[in-house]
Amino acid sequence: MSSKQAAAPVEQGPAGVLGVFHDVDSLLAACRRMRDAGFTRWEAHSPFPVHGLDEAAGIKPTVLPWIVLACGLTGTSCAILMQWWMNAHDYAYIISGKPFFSLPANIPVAFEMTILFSAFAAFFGMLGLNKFPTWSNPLFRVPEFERVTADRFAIVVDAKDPNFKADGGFLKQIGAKEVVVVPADPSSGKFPLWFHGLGAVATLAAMIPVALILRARFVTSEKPQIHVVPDMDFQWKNKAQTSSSVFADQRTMRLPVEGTISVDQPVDANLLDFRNGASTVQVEGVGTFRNDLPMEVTEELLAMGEERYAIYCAPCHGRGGYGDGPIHQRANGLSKDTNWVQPRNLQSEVGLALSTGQIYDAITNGKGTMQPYASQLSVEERWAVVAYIRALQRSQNATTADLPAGVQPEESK
Amino acid sequence: MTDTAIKGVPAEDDPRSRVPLAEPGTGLTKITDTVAGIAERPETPKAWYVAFTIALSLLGVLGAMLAYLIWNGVGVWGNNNPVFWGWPIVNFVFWVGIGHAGTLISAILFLTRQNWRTSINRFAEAMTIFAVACAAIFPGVHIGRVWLAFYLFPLPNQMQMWPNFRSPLLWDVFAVGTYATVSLLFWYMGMVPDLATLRDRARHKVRRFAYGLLSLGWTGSGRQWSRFEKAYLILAGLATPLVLSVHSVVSFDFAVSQLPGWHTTIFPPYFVAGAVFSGFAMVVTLMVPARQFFGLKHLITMNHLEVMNKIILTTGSMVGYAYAMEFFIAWYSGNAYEKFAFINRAFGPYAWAYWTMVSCNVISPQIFWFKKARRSIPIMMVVAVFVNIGMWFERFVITVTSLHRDFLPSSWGYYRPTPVDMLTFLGSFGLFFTLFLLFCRFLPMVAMAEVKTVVPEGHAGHGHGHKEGASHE
Repeated sequence: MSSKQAAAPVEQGPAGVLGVFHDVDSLLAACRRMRDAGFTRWEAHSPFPVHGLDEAAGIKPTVLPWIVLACGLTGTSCAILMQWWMNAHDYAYIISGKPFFSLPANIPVAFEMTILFSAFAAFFGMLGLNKFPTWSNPLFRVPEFERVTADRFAIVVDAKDPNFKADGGFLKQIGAKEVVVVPADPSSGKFPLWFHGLGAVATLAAMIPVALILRARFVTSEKPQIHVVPDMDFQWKNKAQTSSSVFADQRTMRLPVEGTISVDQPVDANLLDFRNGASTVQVEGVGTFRNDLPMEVTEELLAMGEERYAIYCAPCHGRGGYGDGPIHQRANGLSKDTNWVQPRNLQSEVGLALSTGQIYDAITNGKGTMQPYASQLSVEERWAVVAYIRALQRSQNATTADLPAGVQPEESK
Repeated sequence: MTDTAIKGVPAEDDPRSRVPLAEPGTGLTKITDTVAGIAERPETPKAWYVAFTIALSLLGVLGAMLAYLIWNGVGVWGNNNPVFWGWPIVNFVFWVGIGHAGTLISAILFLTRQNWRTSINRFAEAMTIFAVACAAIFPGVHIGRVWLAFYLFPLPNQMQMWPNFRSPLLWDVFAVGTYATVSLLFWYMGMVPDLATLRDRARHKVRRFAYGLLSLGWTGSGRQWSRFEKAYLILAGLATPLVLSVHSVVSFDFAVSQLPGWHTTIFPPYFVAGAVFSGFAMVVTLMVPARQFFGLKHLITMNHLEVMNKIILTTGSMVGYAYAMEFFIAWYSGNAYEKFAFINRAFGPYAWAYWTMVSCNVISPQIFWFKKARRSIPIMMVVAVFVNIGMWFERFVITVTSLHRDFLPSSWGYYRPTPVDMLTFLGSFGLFFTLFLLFCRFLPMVAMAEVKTVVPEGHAGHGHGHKEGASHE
């Protein structure tokens, strides 16, 4: 292959001249003479690193170590900065109570990235300083050069050297066994036109996916998202509010079987009814409410009512039912200008006028700004609270007539 | 060389003398012809095809097992409560450990001027890279949803989350990733001059193009060598702390968690010694048949093998010391859980694995105290294979014995691998040997340029003396 091209007519004049040497000693001696003769653009080639060649050929130390040092320090800083930014700044997340940023935990990654950056610098720095890759070289067309990477040595003088002579007479003088002319590279060194065309098309084609991704970042779409990997996005199950082909009524959500009893609801429908009872009152604009207690008032019921009242009612309505619980006092204490509405004073005229049904309704469904307490209090508990409120009202508005017979004061007799 | 011989000791056995680095009469031409000739053989030997077919079949097994795993999920493995770290982590640590010898030979022996490394470093570096490739499979697939493996790396994502840099598992990603990258650069860069040799010897157009592409335009000029040697020295300097850090970080996976049997400070040096131990054993396992088969006996001499056996003996004894020290600390610390973990390790349900490990790793290399054993091919092959087995069991013992006895006795269990576990591990050898056989067939197995620097012809002042004998033309 090389011999065919070497035989081609040389048009631009030679690229250089090559002298072949057979051993290390004659190469080193020749290098010293080349250096001393004032040659500037020449190279000694050997199949392995020859010790003493740098001195003999006058090669200066490479700057590579400084490049590696700079890149290594960059790696350390990048690693520390990255770990601080990711774990202590952008996504600070408490894990096992560890500090967000602590050097001991960040040393391993900082160390590894220092090594990684330095190794890249050493490798690519070596390539860059040697101008690799250089796949085309006039030397590769000279058959005599082929053994220089195996078991021969060579000195190549570039045609641009001021002392250059195409006959290579000086190389013969300093001991070269063979001297050959290195013909100039006949190729133009440019890529053919079709390569540029192909390159342009390939570049444009490569941009299409990037452009589509960028577009998707900024454009909304009504189409469902693309699931490259479905994971558990699609599951073989019927969801609520969808139709089903399994059941005759085509409903996915099933109704309870007839006669089903909820575990936390009382069986007695009378307890749930706060409108109809043994005695009722007509409240204008709202409707009829019962005004009796559907449960037998016992000491246990009142004790339960007192306890529940203290937990759920007293914070607003106060232990005495005057609508002066700690929340009300706190709200008033904060500012007089708030829209705070005082909780119902159960001892006021309006409060005393409330029927048992109305109180039960307020506990169950809420009233005004009061939230419903149906999920906190069972039906029995609600009636117990109603009974307790009644007792509370009576305790605050008692007259001597309410005292049992035998303990009436003297003057009322 | 020594000036005064010791009475009754042959010159080559003199401990003060350096071992011959290549057999006498191995000149530049012979080195080139031997090493490049292997890659240039016009006809591939039949034995290579047989070996390659076996390796490819095992690689197929690996592919099938991984596909089965990815399709079904990690339930196909034996990993289950309380042993969630089963064979995958064992195999990962095993392969990473094997990958340590290459860089150790290339970097540490280079920095300490152990020139005997030149014959074996290329081979060992290649082994490193293929072993790390095998290791990388296991953490990659054990995460369950492999298509989310990129979460291992700090990449911006739609959830605006970043990985936890306080976890040793993330340190591992950086350590192993850096190690694989630097090993690959080191291996490839060292090979560039030899690829140029193959390029210039190639007669076939395709070969010339391929080797030409890979050799990047190397001409072997003084300036190229100067920068190359500096870069090589720097990479060796970088790889030395790196190789020590990698297995230290791997050991942090265990040591940083608060589990009896794992939470010990001895782990990093103990793991590094074990890694070098297993790596050298694997080098011997592969080197002995390769030098026989490819006719490299005059480059990789019995002296090289003997030196490696000495390292196996040294590191094997260090590992044995670590085993003993773990027991001592378990007793000396007065920690009841630590004590239980070690008594259970040696005499519990996995005692069979523990004693396999001790026999293979501590007892079997002791035969290398005898010079005859160090220089006997059958003995070193048996010991090397034992060490490979023993080092796999070491990782199994560490992982499984500490996990199978949970803090909650109701969670205690006995870990058993499934056939999928076993076939995946077997298949990973397929990947290793496929890559290795391709390397042996197409790339320079011995660092030619480096070996040339240690033969007499490679030095100034020796050239004339050897000129007549060494010029073969």
